[in-house]
Amino acid sequence: MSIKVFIDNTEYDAEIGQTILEVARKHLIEIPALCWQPQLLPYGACRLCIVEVKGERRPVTSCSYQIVKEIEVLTKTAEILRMRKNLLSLLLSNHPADCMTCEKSGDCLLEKYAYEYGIRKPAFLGERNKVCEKDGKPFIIRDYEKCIMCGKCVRVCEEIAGANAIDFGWRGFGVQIVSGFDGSLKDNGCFFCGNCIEVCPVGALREISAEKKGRTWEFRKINTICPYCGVGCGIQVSVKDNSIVKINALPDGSVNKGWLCVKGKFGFEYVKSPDRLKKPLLKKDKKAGKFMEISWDEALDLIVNRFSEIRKKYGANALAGLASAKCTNEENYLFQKFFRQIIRTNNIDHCARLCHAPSVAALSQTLGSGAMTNSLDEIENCSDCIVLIGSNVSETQPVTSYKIRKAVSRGAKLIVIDPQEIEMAKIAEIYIQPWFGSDVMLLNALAKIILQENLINKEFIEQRVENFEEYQNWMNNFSLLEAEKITGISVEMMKRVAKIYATSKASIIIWAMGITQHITGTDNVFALSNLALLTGQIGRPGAGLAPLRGQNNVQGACDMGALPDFFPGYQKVENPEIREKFKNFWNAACLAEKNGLTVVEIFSSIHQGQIKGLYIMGENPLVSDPDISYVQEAIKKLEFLVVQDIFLTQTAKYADLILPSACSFEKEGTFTNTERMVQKVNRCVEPPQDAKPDWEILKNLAKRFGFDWDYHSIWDITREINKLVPIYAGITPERLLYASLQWPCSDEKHSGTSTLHIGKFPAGKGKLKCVEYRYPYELPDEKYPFILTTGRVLTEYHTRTMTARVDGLDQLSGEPFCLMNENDLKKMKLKHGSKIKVISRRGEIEIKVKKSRSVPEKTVFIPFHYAEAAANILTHHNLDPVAKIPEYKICAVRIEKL
Amino acid sequence: MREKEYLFNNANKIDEILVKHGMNRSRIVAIMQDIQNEFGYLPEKNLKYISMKLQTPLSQIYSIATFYRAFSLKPRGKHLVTVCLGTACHVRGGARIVESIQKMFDVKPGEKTKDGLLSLETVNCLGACALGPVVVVDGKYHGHITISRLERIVKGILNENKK
Repeated sequence: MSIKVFIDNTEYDAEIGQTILEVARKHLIEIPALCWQPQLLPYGACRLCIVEVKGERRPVTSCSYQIVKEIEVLTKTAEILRMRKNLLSLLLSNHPADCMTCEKSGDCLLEKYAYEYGIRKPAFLGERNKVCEKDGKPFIIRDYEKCIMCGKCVRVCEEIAGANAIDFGWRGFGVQIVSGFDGSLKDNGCFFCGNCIEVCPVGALREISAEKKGRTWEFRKINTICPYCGVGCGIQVSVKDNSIVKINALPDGSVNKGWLCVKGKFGFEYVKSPDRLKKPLLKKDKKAGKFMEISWDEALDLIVNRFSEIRKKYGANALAGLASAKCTNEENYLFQKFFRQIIRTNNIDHCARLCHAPSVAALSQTLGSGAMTNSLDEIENCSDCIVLIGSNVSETQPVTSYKIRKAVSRGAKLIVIDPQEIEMAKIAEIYIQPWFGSDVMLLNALAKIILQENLINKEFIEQRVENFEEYQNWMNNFSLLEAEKITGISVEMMKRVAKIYATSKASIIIWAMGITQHITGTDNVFALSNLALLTGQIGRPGAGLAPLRGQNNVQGACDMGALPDFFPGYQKVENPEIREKFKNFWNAACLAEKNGLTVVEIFSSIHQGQIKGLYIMGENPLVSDPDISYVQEAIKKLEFLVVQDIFLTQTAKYADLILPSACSFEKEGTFTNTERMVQKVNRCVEPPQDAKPDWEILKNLAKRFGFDWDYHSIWDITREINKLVPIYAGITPERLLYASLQWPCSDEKHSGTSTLHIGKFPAGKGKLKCVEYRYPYELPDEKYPFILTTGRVLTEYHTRTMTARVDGLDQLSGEPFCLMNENDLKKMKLKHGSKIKVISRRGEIEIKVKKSRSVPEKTVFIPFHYAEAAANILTHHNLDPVAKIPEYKICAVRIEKL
Repeated sequence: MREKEYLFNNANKIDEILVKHGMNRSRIVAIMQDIQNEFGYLPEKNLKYISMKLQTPLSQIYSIATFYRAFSLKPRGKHLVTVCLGTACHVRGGARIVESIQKMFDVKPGEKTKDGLLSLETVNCLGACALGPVVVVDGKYHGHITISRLERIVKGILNENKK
């Protein structure tokens, strides 16, 4: 409900419960405030935002004064101005007056207000509270002499990041910001998200990397999208002399609402790394692995010759390509177009196969679309129950975890289901720890309880769901006691979970690799979709199914048809009408009719001698794919391997030809994030020497093949996508200048879709699927008694091509490690930090062991990032029969002391 | 909440205190008071232990420990003299009392004597202003104190110790 507010004698509309400051800022009325941050709870510490409210005896702080009735506010009376000036003067008298050398100058709120209120010198002289600099290595300078005690850093650390690394210490005059026993941030559980720097109004908290690089007015500032995970945070890049100085979060209109994580904030040093590839490289000596620099002309001619040769000799299907979830939509579109139109094969795939292929496969069958059904903001604002299953979100998508944290503080119930006691379990209403690979059993049990206790949504099922009766009959034989035995979760506990999920107003299920990277990956997702369909928890804001995507543009790479069975926009390759449409548009003589091969199938086909030539754009299968020795042997068998990358990756070392490409800070295009939001990427710096954006490389290559790819800029490709992909039809380059849009967006007037499946599923009716429980492929036995599970850590990204070249990140987690339960360590007489050998049926690695409470007993957790102790030497390459995803999450190993 | 295990392999003093307070993190101040009573100060390793057990950030525990004057992060002497320096006590000579104790027993505020028998501390207000100046010796309040009377009291307890 809105009420009238008079601010400085002008009338404004306000909502009940809004604060005076919120209304004022909305209407651009300047009220100074140092401790106020719109995304945080009101605090009222700095007192600078005081205003007069008629009827109140004393001035009130406008940041915390909620409007409940019609009021009259005066913000600039002489008395108020005098008081503010006094307050500022007090702050300044405890502040080193060193603005002339301060890094923050030009961006400092205290400086700004001192200027506005005309304070040349503080009016008070006396003792200052001199606090020395504290340890924030490797990223943060904590120069607390400049601190004004606004408490924003403490609040952001608690409310948003949840790290609680800092707090107020001591009292009175001597108060200061402390970590536990004044230790370093690193030892106090700091995540180094850098959000404390983002909110610090003065120069007390700063980036180490930006020190002495210049001040705000010297930088060129470009808005773009973070190159790391699938959240797609909006960032502002400060550039000086063609190098990135620092990165800040974009507060308004971005997915991240002003927050970042450690990689997004600090992980950009790799862009200027001397290791970047700068010129095309040709392998000179296959045995010694030496390369020589060649020109682009020579490189492209070589590809044309070798690919044509292979195609002539063995047919088009002897060639295959791996696209990249790190490249833009336009580049992935061109990559699949290159293979489909020019090479005439559908052997294109990318790493989505290794992450969310089951989600796409299952959801397109049951609902008709494989993407996340809701927006990230809905999790924060609308969901009342959040089921987090198989997703260590605080490590993999920190910004999403901030949103979940906010939802929980709003009162939403968080249910965490994970064999590892992850960070988010700490704030969960219920945390349950099922046995590895028992997800189908657990989820079926929840469905059974929902049926048994009549928690189903009858109306929803009648209108929007098919095969309910068949499913119900099939469920009759399901035994909850057996589920209890297999999952290790009591029926009582499962009942609590089912009840909260089914009866909450809006429930959302969030999952990631813990669900998909199993040989039952597709079944797991079927079982999740069953839960949503039975209870009708889908198709409303805040209710739905949310597979969190891993890489910045993995959603986009799928959308753009870098898949063996789909043209762009999930249009089936095997459908002759669709083929005809693309054939005509591309002016192609003919297109391959059969589905192509998936990632892991491509490597087994190489083993069988069917595939002879491979083009890899920005992927590193020699670390990321399961059973590495198998992949390595395959790659050696190839007649011709082209790798296009920004660094000489482990895979590139085996290439015959390496093409240097531009990273995402060096090109334009669009990325599609996990919630289907298409966002514009802008060029911030120039690529090193001869490195080129991937789309330019592909365009030039197509021209050499004699095809008329006449794209003058990247936006010509976007316009082609608009014409061919119905879900992207309205997402034109012109609109992207001003706003980000969520697909489906059918035409230029459509404003995008934040919630999918309102009222109707693309598949017509939602389908319930009967899924039988199957055991994982390899279970522990006497010889290999431990379970190995792989995953990611916060400060590393995939195969470390980027993060290993960021010094600070390397300091935090540069060394490979594994986690084991402390009881297992005791039993095996191992110490925290001692080296062990982990052996599976496929290989062995040596690695340091860390003590952990989060990992259950008889389990080893190894992050897959590290090439020097690659977890994927141990994993097996048996696949989910539908989605062809390998089972990264479970294999049997044994541990040997070293 | 997770079904927590309350059983401990080696129940020690800290675990006893934690169990006494029902492992309840909202009773953190009471828990810290008990630790202080047990050891005479708050040992770092014990605070780290309760931080882990109660899943409470160490920064918050440290914040509480430094906020209250009643807590000490350094070992205190066997006996403790706390002089109030609140406004009322101050105007009635609190500061002079601190000074004379300092000279008499060679101990600075916030520290202990070389023999470890006596600690001297100051506090900003004890809320007993009507009794000012107030000094607390080993938990016992002495109102309207004079320097000579305080000297007698302190020497008395120190002598008792020598016997």
